[in-house]
Amino acid sequence: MRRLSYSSTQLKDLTNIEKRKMKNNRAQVTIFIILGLILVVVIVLLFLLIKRPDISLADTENPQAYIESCVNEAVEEAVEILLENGGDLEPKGSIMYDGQELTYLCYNKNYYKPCINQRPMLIEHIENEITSYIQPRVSNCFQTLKSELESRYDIETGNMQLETKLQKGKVVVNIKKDFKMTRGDDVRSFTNFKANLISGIYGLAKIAMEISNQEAHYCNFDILGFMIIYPKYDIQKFKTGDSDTIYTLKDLITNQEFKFAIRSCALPAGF
Amino acid sequence: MSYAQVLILIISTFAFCYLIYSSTGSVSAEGIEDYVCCEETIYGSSCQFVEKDECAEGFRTAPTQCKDTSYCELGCCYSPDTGLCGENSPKRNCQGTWVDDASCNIAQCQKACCVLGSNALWTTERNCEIESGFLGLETDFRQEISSEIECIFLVEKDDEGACVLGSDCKFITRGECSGRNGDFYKDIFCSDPSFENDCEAKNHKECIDGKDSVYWFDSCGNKEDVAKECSLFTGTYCGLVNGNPDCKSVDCTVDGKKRKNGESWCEYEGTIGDGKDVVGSRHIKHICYMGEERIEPCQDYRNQICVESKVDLGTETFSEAACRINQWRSCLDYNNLEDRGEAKEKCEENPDCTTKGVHIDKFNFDLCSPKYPPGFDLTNEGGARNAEMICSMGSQKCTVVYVKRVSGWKCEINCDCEDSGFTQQMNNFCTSLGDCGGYTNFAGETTDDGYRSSAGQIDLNQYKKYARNNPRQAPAEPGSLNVLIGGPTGDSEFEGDYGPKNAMGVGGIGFVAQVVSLYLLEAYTLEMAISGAATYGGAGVGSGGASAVLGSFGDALVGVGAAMATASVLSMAFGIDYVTALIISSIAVTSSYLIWGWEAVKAFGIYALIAMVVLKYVLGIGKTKKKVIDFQCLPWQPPTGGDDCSKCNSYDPLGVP
Repeated sequence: MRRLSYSSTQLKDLTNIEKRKMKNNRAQVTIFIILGLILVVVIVLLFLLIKRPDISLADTENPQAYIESCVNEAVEEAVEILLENGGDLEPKGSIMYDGQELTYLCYNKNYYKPCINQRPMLIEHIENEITSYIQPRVSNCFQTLKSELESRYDIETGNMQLETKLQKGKVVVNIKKDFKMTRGDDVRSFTNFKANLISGIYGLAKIAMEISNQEAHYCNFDILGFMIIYPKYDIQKFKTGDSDTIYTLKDLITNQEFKFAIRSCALPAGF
Repeated sequence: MSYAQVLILIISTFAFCYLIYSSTGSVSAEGIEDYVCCEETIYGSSCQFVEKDECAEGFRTAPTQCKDTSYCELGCCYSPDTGLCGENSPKRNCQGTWVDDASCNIAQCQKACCVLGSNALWTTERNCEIESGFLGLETDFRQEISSEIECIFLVEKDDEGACVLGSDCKFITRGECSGRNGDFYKDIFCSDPSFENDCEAKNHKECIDGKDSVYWFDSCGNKEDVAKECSLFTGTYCGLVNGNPDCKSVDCTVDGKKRKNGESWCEYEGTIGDGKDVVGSRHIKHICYMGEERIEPCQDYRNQICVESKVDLGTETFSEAACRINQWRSCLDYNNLEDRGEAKEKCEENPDCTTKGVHIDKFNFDLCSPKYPPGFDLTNEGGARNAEMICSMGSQKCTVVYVKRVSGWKCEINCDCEDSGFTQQMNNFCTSLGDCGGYTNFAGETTDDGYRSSAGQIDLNQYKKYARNNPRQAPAEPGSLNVLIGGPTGDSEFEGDYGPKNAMGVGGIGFVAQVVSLYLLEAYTLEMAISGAATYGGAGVGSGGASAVLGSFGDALVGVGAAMATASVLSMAFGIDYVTALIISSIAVTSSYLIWGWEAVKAFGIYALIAMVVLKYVLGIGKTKKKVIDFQCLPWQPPTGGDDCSKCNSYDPLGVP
């Protein structure tokens, strides 16, 4: 029969063995945990460091889409500058207000006199400003497109004619430029390119012209009456200490703001 | 009267007139000969009548008004591309069609109602064509509609209904459907079962741009009927309430008071009216619009004031406010009118004017002065000069006369001028002219550098209460309709010579000369000369009164005039030479003794005259001495230091810059 009892030494040995076993188990678990953590870190690093494929909407294989995207970006920049400055890319005949140069749309330096319309054809002026801003950029777009495609196609281009039109709710840019891509028997020709940018600048410019006309005629423009009739627009008016009036027009649909200045029937302090 | 006397009097009159003229300086257009019409200025502005050195190089200039040049003549600029018109446009700025009518009263610029589907627009016919083209609609230009409001709110718009385009359906106008070659079904929704599509009726609610009410939309995004009626006119409009489209109140609650949408009212930075507007204050128009309170400050320096009127709606009132021009210049101008009755009448008729005066003993005058005194720009030399000129109208001298009696020197005339009451009244008058005198600014800070008085100082703390906002402050009076719209003033041609007649100049001189000649012609009693009736807008003649128009010069002049009149009387009565008589009368011109003396002469003859001479030259009885009490009205001086700079906006909760 086997003896089931153990001596103290044997017991001690047994305990040590058990202890060692337990230690080994804990060590294994620790190692697994550490390995698991390392794995997680590596995976995370892989996600972070591996560059994602560049998903560009400007697909050079589709020149129309490419140019449209490029033009829209340029038009958006131009419109933003024009809205901030009162219709000029570089304000001419302007006032510094709240850190911003604002163009005078109607101005008379003398006291007591109604203002003289500085931008009687504001819509056309803005169209010209947008055209002058985007023209070099659009040329660059075509140059870039040509460079991208030259490795795969024979590219022939012609002169460019660009026209900007403000319409209700949008800015439309029409480009006339011959663009021919040839690869073997595959010939693709483009003559007209068009871009549309959603913008409320047309409506805002129309209101600005109406304000200029009324300030030139009556030395005043009633903003409350106008807003009640046309609740789509918000107008704020502020008279500075120098008799300048700052108008801020806001299209509540697009949230775009158009700021400009008027100086009409200015009154001096004193005589 | 001998020819020599007459000659001396005439020469003296002209001599004094010349003295005044040369001291006030010539009234000229101040260098207007240096002004030209610049086609473009160095700052980039077109067609400005400015000084020659402001013209940009390479552009045309002409030594005349711009309206008289070919390139800067003002007219109407019409654009055939947009159909829009620009009023008051110089020829050189117009790349379209330029017409010689600055108000654009031409056929192409006449506006009428342009119906664009379910919307309407008040515009020109050509612009209507353009806008219709944007939407692919036929031009619908209705000239029979006579007003913009009628056009926007009442005109019958195009029919709306379901427009079936193949398997698709859109709820649009007949015109739009026609443009898309669809089949139009008036007043039928796309969710109608007969159309056999997937559009479910009344799927959700939305607000529609330009419409007041909340509308149902089907599951395909097509508009259906009204879910809830809202109306701007009843104070509600479609908006998000707790995240859901609902009728949102567009009325405002301001300081516990309900204001309706579109209502406007005035608020002021302190007390207004009666010459009490405090330095630096401004009138502010408040508006309730779409549930929000907005502000529209009137022009600075109180060149505009806020006026208010209330419309009775039966159970409640609706307030309307406007910023209109402050006619303070006219108030001061009335004082130059020769006809004092007319001046008084005009002053009373003008809602921006009030009569202010000083009445102390014999020192009396009344002037037409602004109810809402103007502010001054003291940051530049021109503004400071302007301020000094206007404030100097309040500088006056009061002559106090002492007479030697048996008991000693006794004050006989204008004794109260030596008290602080004189300073008080004069300062009140001074502050009513503008930012003058000892007064408070809208922060409640007072300074006393704006006046100097030899009658002593006054306590300026009395004025601090005017800097506090008074909720019961009555608004400024609207006046006539012509001035309410903020256009040209009712009184004078705004574009014409609205500038001042020189308040210190020719008008005042002429008046005093008239007074002097009056005495010469009538040789009147000294009682008249001394007391001087309280006159309207002109010289209070005599020892105390002064020509308000001429300021501090007036007193000396009228004193001389009275002396000359007296000298003539004495010379004629006693046969003494005029020069001797002049010396006697100049010494005693304000003396009550001389009145008594004159009465005594009439009653007792030569004996009384001898007795008078003995008393006067031996005992010195009846000698007089004068003490001039001077009040100088100067531009208000701000407190030193910059501790209060931040207070500029602190009184306005909406942060008026």
